[in-house]
Amino acid sequence: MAKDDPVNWEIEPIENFLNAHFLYRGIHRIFWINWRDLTKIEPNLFAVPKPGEEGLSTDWSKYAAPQDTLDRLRIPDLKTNGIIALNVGQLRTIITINKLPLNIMHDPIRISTEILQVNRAHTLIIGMNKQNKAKIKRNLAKIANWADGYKPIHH
Amino acid sequence: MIKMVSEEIAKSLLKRLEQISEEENYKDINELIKNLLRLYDKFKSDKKSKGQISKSKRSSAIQDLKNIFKHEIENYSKNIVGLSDNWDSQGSKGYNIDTWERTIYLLKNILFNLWDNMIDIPIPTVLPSPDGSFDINWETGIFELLLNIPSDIQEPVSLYGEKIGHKEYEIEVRSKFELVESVVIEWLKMIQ
Repeated sequence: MAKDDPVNWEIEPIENFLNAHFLYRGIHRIFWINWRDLTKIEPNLFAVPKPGEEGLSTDWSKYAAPQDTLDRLRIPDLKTNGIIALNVGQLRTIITINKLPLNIMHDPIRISTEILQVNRAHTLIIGMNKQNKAKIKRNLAKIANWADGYKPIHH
Repeated sequence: MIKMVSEEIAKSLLKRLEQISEEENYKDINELIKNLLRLYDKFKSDKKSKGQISKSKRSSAIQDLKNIFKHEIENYSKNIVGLSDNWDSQGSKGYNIDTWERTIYLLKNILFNLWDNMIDIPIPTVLPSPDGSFDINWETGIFELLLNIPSDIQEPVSLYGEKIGHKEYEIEVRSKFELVESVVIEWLKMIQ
């Protein structure tokens, strides 16, 4: 169908992100291997986007399951990568309560690149910068959880 | 009131012990168990003396904490420090020894100053962040404090802290590396 052709994927407006939706992100073991407690998410997972990146890359649950996020990683194995889930409703709550300058922006990848594959779910969390990063990292860690069944395996 | 060893510190040591157990590193386990037992013995005898702690006991307990600090910090550097740029083939930044040493220098100065002044602060986590920086993170029942030490020495350190349930003590600062130590020490003293 023409609609399923990636070139026809539209950028969806913010109101299409329902509070019940999730944003998934893969986390390499380097970031959790030395945690004291794997069930307690630490803020070190989050950082200011690299140069050339507009925001923190995630996958929107409207178009992706945690397994899709895992499969897109170079090593799709829970011994190497875990998948965290950020609930959209909780994200909105911390934005409001703490006056965080964050926004969710749908950013479907229509043409694959060396780093990113074609991905309709691709969504950015934008607004974190060098000035506000400590507060935002702390707040994102508070609402992040491992996606059900995608907590990494510590070995 | 003098508090020599808090529940927070004991808990963090036990968690670390469990983690090391999983890694089957028996040398580390024995070392930690010895430290824990020593701390508990001191804690018990300090409690019996109803806060009247001799100077020598106090300095010996502080020395134990400092030894534990060194042991804990070594563990945090394992598998991380020395990773070069693009270690994940995805363009991630590496973790150089200079950034690590600056991070530990700062943390050591903060903790040793507070411990020497009988202020009871647990050892935080020290973890790598995707941009090549390190995070020092405390989460206790009383306060939360995050320091981010960037790999670029010219870039300021970012910190954010809250005293739980007391919004008036919220702190959000970007500061030159040289000034962070005193900012953190003063804030931690203030919220006690």
